[in-house]
Amino acid sequence: MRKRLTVLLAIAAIVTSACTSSSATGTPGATTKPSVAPSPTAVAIDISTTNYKPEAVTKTGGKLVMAEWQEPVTVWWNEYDNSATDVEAFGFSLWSLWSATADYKYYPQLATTVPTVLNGGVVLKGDGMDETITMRPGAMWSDGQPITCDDLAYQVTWQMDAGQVGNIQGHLGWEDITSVDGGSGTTCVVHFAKQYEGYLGLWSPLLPKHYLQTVSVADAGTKLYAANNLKAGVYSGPYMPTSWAAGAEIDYVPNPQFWSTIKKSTAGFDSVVFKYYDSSATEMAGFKNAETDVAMNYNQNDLAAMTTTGINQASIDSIDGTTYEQHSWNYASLKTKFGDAGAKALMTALHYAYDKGAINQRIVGGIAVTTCNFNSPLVWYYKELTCPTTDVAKANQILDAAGFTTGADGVRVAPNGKAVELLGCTSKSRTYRVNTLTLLASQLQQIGVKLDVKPVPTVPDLFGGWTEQGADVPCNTTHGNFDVAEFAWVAGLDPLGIYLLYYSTYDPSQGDHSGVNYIRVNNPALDQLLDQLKRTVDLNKVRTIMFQIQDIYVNPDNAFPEIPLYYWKTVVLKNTAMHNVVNNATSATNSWNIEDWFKA
Amino acid sequence: MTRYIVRRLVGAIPTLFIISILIYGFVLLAPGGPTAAFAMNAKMTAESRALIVHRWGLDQPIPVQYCRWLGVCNPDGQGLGILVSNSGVPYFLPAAVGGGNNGVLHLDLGISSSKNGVPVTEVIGEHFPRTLMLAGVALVVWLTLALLLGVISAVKRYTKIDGAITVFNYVAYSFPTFWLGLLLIIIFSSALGWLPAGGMWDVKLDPAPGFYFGSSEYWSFFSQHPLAVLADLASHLILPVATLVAVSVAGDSRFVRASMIDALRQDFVRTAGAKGVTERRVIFKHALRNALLPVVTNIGLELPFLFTGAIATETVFSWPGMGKLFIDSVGKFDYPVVMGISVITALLVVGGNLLADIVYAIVDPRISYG
Repeated sequence: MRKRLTVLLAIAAIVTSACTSSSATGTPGATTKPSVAPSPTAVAIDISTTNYKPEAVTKTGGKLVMAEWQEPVTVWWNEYDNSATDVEAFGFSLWSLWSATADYKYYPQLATTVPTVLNGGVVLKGDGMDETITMRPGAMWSDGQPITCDDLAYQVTWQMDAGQVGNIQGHLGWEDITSVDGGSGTTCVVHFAKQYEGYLGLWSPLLPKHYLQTVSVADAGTKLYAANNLKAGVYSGPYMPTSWAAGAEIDYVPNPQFWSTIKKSTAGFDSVVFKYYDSSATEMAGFKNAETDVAMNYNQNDLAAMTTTGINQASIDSIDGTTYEQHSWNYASLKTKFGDAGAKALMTALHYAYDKGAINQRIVGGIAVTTCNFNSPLVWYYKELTCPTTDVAKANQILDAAGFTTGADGVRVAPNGKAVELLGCTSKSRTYRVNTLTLLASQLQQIGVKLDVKPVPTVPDLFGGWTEQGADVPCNTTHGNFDVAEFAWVAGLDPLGIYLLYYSTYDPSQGDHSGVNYIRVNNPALDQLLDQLKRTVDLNKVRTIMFQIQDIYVNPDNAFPEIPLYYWKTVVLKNTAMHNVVNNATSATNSWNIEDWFKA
Repeated sequence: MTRYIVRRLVGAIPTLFIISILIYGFVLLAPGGPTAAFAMNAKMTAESRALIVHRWGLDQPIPVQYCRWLGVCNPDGQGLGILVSNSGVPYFLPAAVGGGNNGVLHLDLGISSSKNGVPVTEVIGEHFPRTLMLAGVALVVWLTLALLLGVISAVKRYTKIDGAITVFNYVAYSFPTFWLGLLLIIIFSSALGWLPAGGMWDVKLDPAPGFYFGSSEYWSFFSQHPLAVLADLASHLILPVATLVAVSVAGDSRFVRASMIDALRQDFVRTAGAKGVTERRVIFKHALRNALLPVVTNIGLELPFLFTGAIATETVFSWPGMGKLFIDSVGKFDYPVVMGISVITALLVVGGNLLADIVYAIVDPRISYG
């Protein structure tokens, strides 16, 4: 299935997925108070000074061919679709105010600086805040219209319009904006009625007011940036699409306004092609045959094939990414089956029963880095945690103490008389995930837990929505028909990304069923921290809150129902003649700095 | 004959009507439904989904949805008025006489939900020539080979040659298409580097942007460098055509062999031989012509393949044709495209059968539909 982006700039996204139970009122660690955070040193947190220094361009011209194995959906990245492939293909056509570098820093795109409290770009005013955004002076849209504060202001109205059909950004953050000053100038002040931590994820991408105004808001998704009329679109980035040969490729030419008003240099290439193959295997073969210059969207599972295909090792660029493979445990299901105390004891025991080292060795050949955190070590709010070590004896003690007995068949029986027989779900198209759950089943046997592994279609079974999928479909995560599900999440630069995953009201069984708190975690202390996080823009305070959240997450006593396994590798293949292609594991994707690429 | 054709065409209407109900019904029964594509949008609210459902008319009763899709009901109408166009005539009539202008009957297959803003007819129109190229070449090669191998096998029946051809047929027939395709890619593309791994053209052939099969840039470049373009096209065709032919020729050559053996046993063939007609003439003039009759029927049934393409082969070789479009559309829950391809395929199957019957009458004077 498709690698997914999230909603804000780069929150967290499902990469693939997974499965039993009913609504959640239960709460892992419901009585747990936030642990005392080791106070992070209150030093200036720099989120925008990057180590990235591109080589000077020594040659320009020619045709650049980028390859993928998935077809993008729409130019409207992060607006009407959330595929990572959209960002790869169109993130460089429609720029944002800022984006993420390969070393996890924000760098300005259409703005000149990244506003923070520290640099004075964000000023707190009671409950609200003012954000000053300085646009690049003289910057133009591809049709020659200036990029101004009016574009920012109009997009707020446009995003909030009740006539929006299928827009995925929702109103989070936008609804806090009361006005945008600056008019047709380039120094803009955005007034927020409430402090909003995710403010850097707004205007991602920035859209041209004069183009949006040509059709009704309801028609924008289908009539603007239409795949059969890309030339009519208005763009801001270095290369703009001119044609889309469905099922085959997208063609681009340099955006003259970008190169004359923003980059102020010559385009690295005369034209660009985004070519997609049907599978990663054929994409690999195409790269080996020099059909393409850069081949993207690979991970640790592809490395062995790259070697056997005979790809030059110098062309393989592999780094640890922000995507982490994890097991989502459905706490509501455990609670329904075994009661409050039973679920908490079982979840705590599970944390000790995992042997992640064995999973790493046997499933991914030992090349991955195991983790007990949901963050990448490269983000500024990452905390080095002491991970629980595998301790089967301790897990058994916890279950014994909680009254779980062992039946004649070796399967534990909860104090309420129910056997601990659980359902593990994952995508049937991902063999390594099926193998991982099968290996886990053997590990859990040692603590008397029986796990039945059920591979199902990713969509619609595993991730079918509340209305799109029947309530009784086995393994459906939205309806909670699973005990444990394996899939991956992409952690973003913005800490607020976890809000949708762990805030209690985002339990998909509740409200409008659009939440992605599949694990049904309902922890008041965590909710409180997340609420604080949402309304905090002081980076030191944000980091303190994130440290506290990570403490809750990792401590087995809190029975947090998500167990991360290992980080994915982000792998890109690049022709050795290509320069400045820097592997970027963030949601900015590997085409993040295409304006610096050249071939020599 | 004309009366027969008219009778068959009229008879096809209820068949196509039932097929259209089945196509619509299967899509309704498909897990997920037309809005399944939004299931993973974490911030797609219920309100937002409801707007889409309304916009797509999915909040209407199923018979009304079907009726609109077919082009019999007016999307703007109310009550019984839905059967009447805005001009006051039955909606199913052509727009030229005041009827409706959307729905299948008016050649409007809707808007692709995975390609924002693009009509289904345009999406299909873009992919069809590519499939025609692949399937057309494959069909010519495989029928030629099937005839040759079938005739040789029949004429040399029970000899070592016949045995070798039979073994080849069974082996080739046993290959799963996707497996054979991947094997060929590994050998001829990955390992040897002789042929491209997939696609239909080399994007680097022309340094100018927009170079892809069917674009004005493509034909412009072709007019200047015809040999280079043809060589490039041929290099991309070899592996997918080989895959299609290897699997398909096996079945058809067995079919020709059986027909040919029957024909060779006929009295008129023996008579021709006894009269001193050369063996080659007996085989190709007398026997093969008669042996072709059942083959013609088979070709008629294979005609839809020219449109739908070979799903597995196109997918494995990233050939951007109808088969790959169908698979991609299923994966993206693009129901308008899936239904559009299904409807056209149904039309072709019915049309192909009719054509086969007509050709049958032409090549076999004993048959009369009068």
